Amino acid sequence: MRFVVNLNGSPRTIEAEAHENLREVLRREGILSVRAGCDGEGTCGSCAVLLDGRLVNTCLLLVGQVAGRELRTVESLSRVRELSALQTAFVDAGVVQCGFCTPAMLMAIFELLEKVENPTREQVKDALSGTFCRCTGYEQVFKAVQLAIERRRDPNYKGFIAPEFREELLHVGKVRRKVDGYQLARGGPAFVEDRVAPGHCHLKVLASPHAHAYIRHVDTSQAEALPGVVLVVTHKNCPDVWYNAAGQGFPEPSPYDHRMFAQKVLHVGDRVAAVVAETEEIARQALDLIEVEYELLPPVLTIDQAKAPDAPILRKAHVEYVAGAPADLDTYNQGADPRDGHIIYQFPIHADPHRNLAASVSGGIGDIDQGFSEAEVILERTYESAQVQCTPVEPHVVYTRMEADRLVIHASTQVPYHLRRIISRIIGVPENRIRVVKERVGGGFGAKQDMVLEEVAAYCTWVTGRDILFRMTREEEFIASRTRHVMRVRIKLGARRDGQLTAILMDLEANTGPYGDHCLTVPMNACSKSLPLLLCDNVLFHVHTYYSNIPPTGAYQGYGAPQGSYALQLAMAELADELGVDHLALLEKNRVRDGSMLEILRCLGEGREGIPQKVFSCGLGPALEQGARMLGWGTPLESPDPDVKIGRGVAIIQQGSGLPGLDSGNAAVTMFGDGTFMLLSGGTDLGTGLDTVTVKMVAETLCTRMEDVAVIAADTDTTPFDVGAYASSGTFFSGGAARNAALGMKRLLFREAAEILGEPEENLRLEFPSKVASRSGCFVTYEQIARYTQSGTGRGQLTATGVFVTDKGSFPYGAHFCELAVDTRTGKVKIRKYYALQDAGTPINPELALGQMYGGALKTIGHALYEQMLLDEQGRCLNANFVDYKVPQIGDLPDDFQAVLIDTDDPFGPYGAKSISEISCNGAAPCIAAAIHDAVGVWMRTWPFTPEKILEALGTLES
Amino acid sequence: MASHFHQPERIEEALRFKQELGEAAYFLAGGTEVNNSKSKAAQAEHLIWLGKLGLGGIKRREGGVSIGAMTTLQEMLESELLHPAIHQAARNHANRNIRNVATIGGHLATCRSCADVIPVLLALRAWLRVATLSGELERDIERWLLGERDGIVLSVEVPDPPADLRVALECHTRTANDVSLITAGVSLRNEQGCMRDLIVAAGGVAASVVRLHEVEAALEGKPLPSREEVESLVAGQVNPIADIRGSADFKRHLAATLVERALRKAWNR
Ligand SMILES: Cc1cc2nc3c(=O)[nH]c(=O)nc-3n(C[C@H](O)[C@H](O)[C@H](O)COP(=O)(O)OP(=O)(O)OC[C@H]3O[C@@H](n4cnc5c(N)ncnc54)[C@H](O)[C@@H]3O)c2cc1C
Ligand code: FES
Ligand code: FES
Repeated sequence: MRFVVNLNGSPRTIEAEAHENLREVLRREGILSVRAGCDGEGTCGSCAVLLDGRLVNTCLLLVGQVAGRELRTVESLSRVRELSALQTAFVDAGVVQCGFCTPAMLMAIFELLEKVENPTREQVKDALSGTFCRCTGYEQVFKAVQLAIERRRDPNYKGFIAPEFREELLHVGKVRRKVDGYQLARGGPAFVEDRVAPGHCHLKVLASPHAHAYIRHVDTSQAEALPGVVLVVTHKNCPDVWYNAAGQGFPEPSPYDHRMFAQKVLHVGDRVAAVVAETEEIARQALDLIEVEYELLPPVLTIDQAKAPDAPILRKAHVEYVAGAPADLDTYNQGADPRDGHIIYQFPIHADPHRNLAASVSGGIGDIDQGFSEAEVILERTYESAQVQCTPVEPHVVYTRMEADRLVIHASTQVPYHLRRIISRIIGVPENRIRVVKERVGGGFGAKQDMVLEEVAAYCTWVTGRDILFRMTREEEFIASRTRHVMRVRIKLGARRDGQLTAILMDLEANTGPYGDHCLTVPMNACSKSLPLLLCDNVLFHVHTYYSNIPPTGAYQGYGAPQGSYALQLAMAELADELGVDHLALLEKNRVRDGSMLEILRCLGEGREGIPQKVFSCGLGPALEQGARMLGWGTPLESPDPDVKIGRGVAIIQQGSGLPGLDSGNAAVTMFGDGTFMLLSGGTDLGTGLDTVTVKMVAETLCTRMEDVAVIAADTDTTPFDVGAYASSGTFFSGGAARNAALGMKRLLFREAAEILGEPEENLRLEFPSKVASRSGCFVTYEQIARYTQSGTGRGQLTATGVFVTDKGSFPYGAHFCELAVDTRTGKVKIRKYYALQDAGTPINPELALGQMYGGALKTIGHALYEQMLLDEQGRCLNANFVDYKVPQIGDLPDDFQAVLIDTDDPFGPYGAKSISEISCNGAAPCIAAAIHDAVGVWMRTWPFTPEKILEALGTLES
Repeated sequence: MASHFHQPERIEEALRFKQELGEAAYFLAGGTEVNNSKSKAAQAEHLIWLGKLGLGGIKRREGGVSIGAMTTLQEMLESELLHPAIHQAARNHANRNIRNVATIGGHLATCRSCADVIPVLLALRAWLRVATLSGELERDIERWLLGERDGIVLSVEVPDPPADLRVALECHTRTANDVSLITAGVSLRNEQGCMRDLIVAAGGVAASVVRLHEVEAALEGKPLPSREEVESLVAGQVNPIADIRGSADFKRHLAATLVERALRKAWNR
């Protein structure tokens, strides 16, 4: 049928059936901005447009409902290369991070501003009440709206957006328009799905309905016979390669315990088969035609079940070591069941898979017994964290295709180079046959540090030659991508009466689920990013990680630190209470400070000896002082409502900036004929602003305008190696590499300029914009240098490369404070004030740094209060959707939400920068739990702190 | 996905389609339920769209206000003709995006246990105009809730409340953007220190929103008793089911708390 709608101001005839889904039809019509994050359940708002001037979710509408009506999408807001005032306001305020939700947010605010000239905070919240953004924490939207209003009057209005740093620098530390802001604010094309060509195939996975079973028999013949089916893959015909899906530097600490398809399924949602078909519908039908016979095994869901002496064993695998095999390995392997496949360790991680132990480690400093014997007070508590999902609004998605005889992978990944390496090994082709193009990533948060689906699509394309799109559903995202490790942490503290710590014991058990990705390193990080915050001579930690049949775990922003921090920081709050001293004073007495030597890090390397570090830039002192002042710490609190009690809490936090001795980043800077530059960066921007960081590094170093530096990043054919975006390494390593490449370019510029000007290099300096000037007053422009070098007599086009590696650790520090109200009759917690104060060294992009902090804080407020994946006894997830798994949104913002950058200067990071994002996730759970205790006197030792649990703790409900 | 999209322009036509197609057909209003990928209706073969029947709009009538079935919850929220308590209830409903399409007719027909706007309609003694093949009729909302849900809702009729009517609503959600777990809606008049014409409605405690008649009867004509008394009275009258959002005990406790709060709020107004 034909429908006429008014689309973005002009009539458009659409060829469609009346009952077709509007979102899909709009995509077909080339409107790419209608994104999908919830598979049409209407809960994410990413697909929103204006229908007759009102914001609606297009996934919930049919074409017939909108015939003759007016549709307006974000595509209408900008002209060819010009963004509207609203769009620039969004980008400039730092509220465009990954950009996946940006079109929806823009249309929501567009509608609001059409109707209300000067909206209130509440009106903005209402306008965005249906838009889910996992990145930004929303807070900067209010500024964006203000900015947009001003810019309607004066398009060049700047206003105050964020504090700036380093007066002497041009770009670094300044508020500058994000380099990918233009692309994201326009609504694309930008993401993997925007790249697919007509005629591509769809890949769908048959998921195991059982948590633990052998596949006794699988028959794919009927599926294969279905017209339109291109390929069916199962454990019978996939490559017999065991690998590791964790995107980590080689050799990885994680065990190689994945096979593309295995004979044993280990969680509900585990892969049984894949179908590649001409259409999604055919692929779905084919899945139904696959017959599988399972031999059911009892599921193992908890740490206690996994370590029980008679526990069902997930991994009776044949174990191999690349290095460091134990002497009794042959005997060990006699217990293996061939159906359980293999596990390969690059080096020992003290695993015992035949007893469900995925990894273990212990270490410490001083003498723990001595420490406890010196203690006047000993406190021992256990804390547990729940399984939470990263929920990037864009689920995992990949598009694979052949270009001549090479494989091209359009990926939404944090680790393009690791992907290339791992896939090359699985398919058995050299790395130079594979190109991974990292597209804009619609949120990663750690879930996209792992290879969750790429190898299947890649293999199928390699075998069939077909273009393949593989996109996870929201349900698959919950049950088959990555989640936070479930942890149980026993803390034992010894202290003198005056609060001086004498001993810390951290005994941590983790549940890694079916695979060992990150099974050693996430739990270790829980220790290594929490213990060094406290100065204590006697420290001991134990880590034991167990396999189980829960949905897979992996990296999640913070990487174990949120769980470790929750346990140790809340134990400190409990200790303060026990000692009768002020919590803040107790932290002040024991905290790390400038000049502290962190010996404990020697035993916290990732599977190898670590490097002890000295602390050079610690912003904790000012963070605590300023936060306490902002909150009025210690002043009395009165609640006007007798049912509502108010309390305050604090937690101190830290992270690292990449992994010294393990991570590396590379970059190259090339000069073009007019004296502008192209930066090739290995760094992977996930919406964090990394591409802006690297451009700033180059523009700053080369005294040029940011517009004079174009960037291509994370395209493995074009850009040099980088470990990827994880471990808070982006600014430090990828940024450092860009700066080093620019320094190389600077040397080349001096060399050429010296020759042109006939002056010694010592006399030369760079001068903004784009000149090499001499003390004598003469100068040469970059354009002149470019012409000179690129002429027939020149040395050739100037290109400089840079690498960043280091054995130095730079730790960002921070303090999170909150004030909250507990409704003692409903158990509901309302956060009234939340202050995140963090030192990032030199914040390269201050407005984006603040955005990272707001986003991390709100996300983890969600983890602390609302989020938890619920499993039944069979290991089925009961809330694998946004109706039942509740994420915080704009309506849940603290009434007063402030992120504050504490100024410190780091000696090792580029321009003094440290990391910013992950650390933001470490404060919410402990500071909220401490505040709940302050309000109502109960300690919440398992997260999330739901109303029901709080009422139970209060004794209002029986537990 | 449906394969037929019918667009009747007369009510009888719509009713007749439904009669002929039976279970295979769904009326379609805003579509937040029907077009939802997770709903059963998404599998229906036939959709009968109600968008061409002229059922939109909010109108003043003799003695009250009439809300057309196709009126969206956002339109209700913005209408100055409606009681502020209706605004509040509509505001509790999901979020802007959903409110912009979800209709009051669809809301009533979906009849969720925790439908956010139904308690206030009970509290305001609203009724429905319903079209059936045997003609147009007026239907009491309570009977609608109890299962007499045949036909097409044409409008919700809200009578003008007496000047001294006090209405109060409460709801509990997990996050701000959530379907309510428990709701409470009450209305009463304070006649010389006693509660009169009491209506107490609660959502989330039964298959659909219910009026708590025993609670009403126990309190009618009395001053508001102590908190504990009211709470235990309510707790004794509700039997919510346990689900992943909460245990039965928790929900019962919430219902008691919220009804008591609503009563006290109305009482003190
Ligand atoms: C993301 C999301 C969030 C939600 N949140 C909430 C919430 O917070 N609170 C809440 O109470 N509800 C909530 N709902 C449910 C909501 O009440 C309904 O979705 C909505 O009100 C239904 O209206 P509609 O016009 O979209 O109905 P439709 O989807 O068009 O229809 C729903 C049902 O009603 C029938 N129907 C529609 N109109 C009529 C009529 N005039 N006469 C007879 N039958 C009719 C249809 O046949 C269908 O069975 C939510 C739904 C979604 C998708
Ligand atoms: S895709 Fe439409 S609301 Fe999520
Ligand atoms: S910027 Fe909103 S989801 Fe990423």
